Amino acid sequence: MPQGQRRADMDTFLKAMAKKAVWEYPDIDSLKGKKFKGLTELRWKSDGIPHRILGYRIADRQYLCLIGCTHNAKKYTPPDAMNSAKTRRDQIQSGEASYREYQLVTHR
Amino acid sequence: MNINSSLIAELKDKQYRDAYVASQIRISLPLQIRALRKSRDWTQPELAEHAGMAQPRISEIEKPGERRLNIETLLRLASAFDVALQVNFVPFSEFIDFNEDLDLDNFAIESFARELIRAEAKEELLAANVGHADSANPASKGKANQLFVVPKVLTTDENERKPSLPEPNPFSIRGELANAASCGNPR
Repeated sequence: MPQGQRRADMDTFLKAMAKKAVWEYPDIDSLKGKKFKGLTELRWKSDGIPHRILGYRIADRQYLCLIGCTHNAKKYTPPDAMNSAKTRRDQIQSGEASYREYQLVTHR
Repeated sequence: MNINSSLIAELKDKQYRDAYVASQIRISLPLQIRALRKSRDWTQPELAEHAGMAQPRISEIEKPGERRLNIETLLRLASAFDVALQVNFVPFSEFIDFNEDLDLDNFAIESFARELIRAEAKEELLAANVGHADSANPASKGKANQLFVVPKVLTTDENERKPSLPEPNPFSIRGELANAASCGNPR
């Protein structure tokens, strides 16, 4: 697969999601485990490998991306992706960390 | 083409350009298929039945990036939805416009059967209106049909034959022709 394909796939997926009013499975799913309650993952496959963005909805039509990872054979890469997502959410909610708007690759 | 867009900046890289095209097939097309199925109010098993495929295959087809879709599969799906499948080479400007404008929440492509019903209903309506115009114009008998859009006000009363200006309507030129016909003025 040519270099850049994963990036283009992510751009295309995120742009499609940004336009959709309702997000549903299998494009999005909740993370399992009480510890991760409220966190979700955006899901698509690129280069035959499941890709994920872990995050949560912060307002209507606003989604906060906490970390990107792959999810192959039930293992996240990086392996601590879920814990990192939780830590980052906690930091954002306590005001220790901040976030900024992600600029979609678009023609508009 | 807006050359200052972030997409154009990325597309200047040949590798990204090629990848962008592939992404529209691998990522966007599955989402289109799912949107099309939902616009028909079909479940995955129902689409599977129409397409002669197994439901798990439909499930995979609808997942972005899950499968490499080949033309044969797409043709089967197009047949199931009773829509056309268009595969052609286009300039990037056209390709970008289509993909940027794609609205998956309102992605409903009419089946051929529905298109035909609509077209037949439209033709029947036009024919009925032409019938009105013909009955007011005996000189038109035996002549080939010409389709005009007749403003309703001109055809409701056959006795009202005095010349009048046509009602303003989007088909003003045709309206004038129809008006002339209803006044017994053969053209």
